[in-house]
Amino acid sequence: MNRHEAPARAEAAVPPPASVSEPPIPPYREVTTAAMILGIVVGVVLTASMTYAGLLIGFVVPASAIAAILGWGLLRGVLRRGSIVENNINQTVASAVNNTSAGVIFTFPALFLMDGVSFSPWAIGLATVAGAFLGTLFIIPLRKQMVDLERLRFPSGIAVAEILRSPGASSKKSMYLVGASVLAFVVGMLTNAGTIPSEVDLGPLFGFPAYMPNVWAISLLSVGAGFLTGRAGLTVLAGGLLANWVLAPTVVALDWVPVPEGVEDPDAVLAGTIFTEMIRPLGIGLLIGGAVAGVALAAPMIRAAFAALRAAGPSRDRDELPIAWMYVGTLGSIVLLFAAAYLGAPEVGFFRATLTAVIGTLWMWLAGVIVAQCTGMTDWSPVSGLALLAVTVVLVVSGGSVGLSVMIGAAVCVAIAQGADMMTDLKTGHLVGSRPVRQQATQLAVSWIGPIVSVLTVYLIWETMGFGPGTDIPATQAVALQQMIQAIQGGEVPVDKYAVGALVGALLTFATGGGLGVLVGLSMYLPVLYVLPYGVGCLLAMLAQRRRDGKVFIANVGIPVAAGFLVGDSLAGVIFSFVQLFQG
Amino acid sequence: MRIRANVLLSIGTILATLGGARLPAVEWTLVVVGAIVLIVGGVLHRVDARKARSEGGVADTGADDEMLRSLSATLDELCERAPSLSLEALVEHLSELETGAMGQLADSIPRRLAEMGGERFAQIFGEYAAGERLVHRAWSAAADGHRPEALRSLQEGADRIRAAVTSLDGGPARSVVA
Repeated sequence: MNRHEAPARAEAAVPPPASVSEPPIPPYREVTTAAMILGIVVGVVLTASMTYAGLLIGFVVPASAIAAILGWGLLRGVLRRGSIVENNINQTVASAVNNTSAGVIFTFPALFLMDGVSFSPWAIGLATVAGAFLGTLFIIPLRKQMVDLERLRFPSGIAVAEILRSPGASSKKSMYLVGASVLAFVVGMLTNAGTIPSEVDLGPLFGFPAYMPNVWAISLLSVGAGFLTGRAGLTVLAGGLLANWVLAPTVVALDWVPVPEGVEDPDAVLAGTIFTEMIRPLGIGLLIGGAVAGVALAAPMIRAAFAALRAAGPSRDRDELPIAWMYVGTLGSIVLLFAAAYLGAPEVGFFRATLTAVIGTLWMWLAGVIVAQCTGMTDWSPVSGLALLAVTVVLVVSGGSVGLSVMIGAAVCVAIAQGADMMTDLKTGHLVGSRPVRQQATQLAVSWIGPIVSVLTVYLIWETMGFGPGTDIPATQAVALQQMIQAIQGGEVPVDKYAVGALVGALLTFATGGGLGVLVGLSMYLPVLYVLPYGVGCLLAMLAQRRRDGKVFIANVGIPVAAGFLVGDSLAGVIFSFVQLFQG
Repeated sequence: MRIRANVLLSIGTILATLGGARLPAVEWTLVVVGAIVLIVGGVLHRVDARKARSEGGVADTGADDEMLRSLSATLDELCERAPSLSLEALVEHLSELETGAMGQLADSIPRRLAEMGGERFAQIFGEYAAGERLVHRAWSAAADGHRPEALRSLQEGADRIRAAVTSLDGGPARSVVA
């Protein structure tokens, strides 16, 4: 079918003058039952699958690109209708449902693995649903700032927009998109299956010790994300090199890190200590300080966005959800969070439950801003680090209630995943011309589904197969959180490192008036093996920009190829997860 | 001065994070020295940015303003011609605008933000961004073969971008639809 034939009645309806017998012009399809149902079905299937796969292999993949591709196949191919913005609603719904699985698998399963910790799965479900609502609502006034004004890149958002627009784009552009997707898919499948290595260690080649990692992930996704970020992403590369190639050898040379004795490979142990006890906590601190300073600097724009939202009135043509929704929803979610805390951990009492609900809500907002900024600037989100901080804070506030801490940690994880996803979808929506209010409303309408499906799936797997050390399902993320909680209980919280990081992050952001603190923080938080190929992507974008026809080349070749890398790699992750599922 | 500022920012970051990295306890003297170097680097960075704006700003601002006016005029013209264009031709025209004039305007945004300050920038470019999104919607509708929506969105997009130009010229900010 020719793309311009789709709603042929609409095309034919315009030129002739209006007459009594003329059939009504069909509205441009956007929020439709078909898009909603398809999005929910895809989202639920992916949520259950990704929850299982996440416990099994330790990672999940986002649903947006998959949903967009399925959308074309089903909405347009099978149902013989469907528009670009309708498919955008479909992918918004699917990713809104699916994105919570990462938050749940990182936190909730840890409770099953800890002896003597009592918890209620229903309370966890309630808390994560509150988190899902809050994550969507908090982001409403920030859309204008991040998408419209600061123009954050949101590489995945651009990639999904490329898929959505591909049927209307030139055939060459579509060819680049498909070709790059196929290449990234093949490479992704081969690395996932272990046919080719997933990383290459160039350290020995250059004589680097293990604590100066020169490891490169074979990840076209990272290269694509770097390309779509462009020059701004070079800061991530610079920060990664600073942390791993300058800080790490210097602290070793200064004897500032205890050298392990009696181990086979002391350099490898040093590398682990330096990353987990030095660089990563500093990176988390930088993220927090940089984000808080960024919010302070953006205050005039955020104020303007609030003012515009308040001035909008009850018009049917408004662009955003009314700000009152955010106020009412926030209040409702605090009540939900309180109910979850009070019913799920009655031993903490009324006062501590209230305090936990309020602090949890505030942290969700701050963490949501941080993650949305990180996703916008680089496509990476430091969910686990921020959830860990939430667990730490709630452990202190609740007087040491592990059940409550993990529950709030799960809610925070879900909230920030939801916020980052909403913002990425809004970027996609901007590029294809969707109405933000429709995306916000649909995301809000379905955001509660994912946490319930994910929590139930975890419970079901625990009851039927079990997970954790000694089982077929290792649940590595949950084991990591369990170990971290035990470390926190032992008093090993690197508060001083968080504080130094926050100071440096805030100063960097205030100094340059941009998101420098967040970018440097992210570069220290991430393992260098992803930062290096990401930097290559940034450099390639800068090289392309230098061509005489740089802008046109980037728009017509660079962006489709980079988007294809993101899509193909994600698709390989999903297929690989399904293969793992069927192999049991 | 820009190079000096960047060097100081880098040195400050290295010193402060190095002090912070020490195990088991932070080396606070190094952190404080690093923070001071960072602050000096930040001040130099801001002074340099202000100087660059005052020296080259007028010419750049004039060109940026002209670019926005020119885009608005082009869109108005396209609105007039659009009903007689085929949908393929409309998609082609809109694609050219998206990768051409609108892409250039997007590149100028960080500079404009620094010049105008957050509130005024938000008034003008908030309106512009809404118009830009509607132009993208016109592209999508045209590619989908839905002429009424393509024409309506194109007209609304042109209106919003014209409102941004009016606001740039000192007129009232629209900000009715948010």
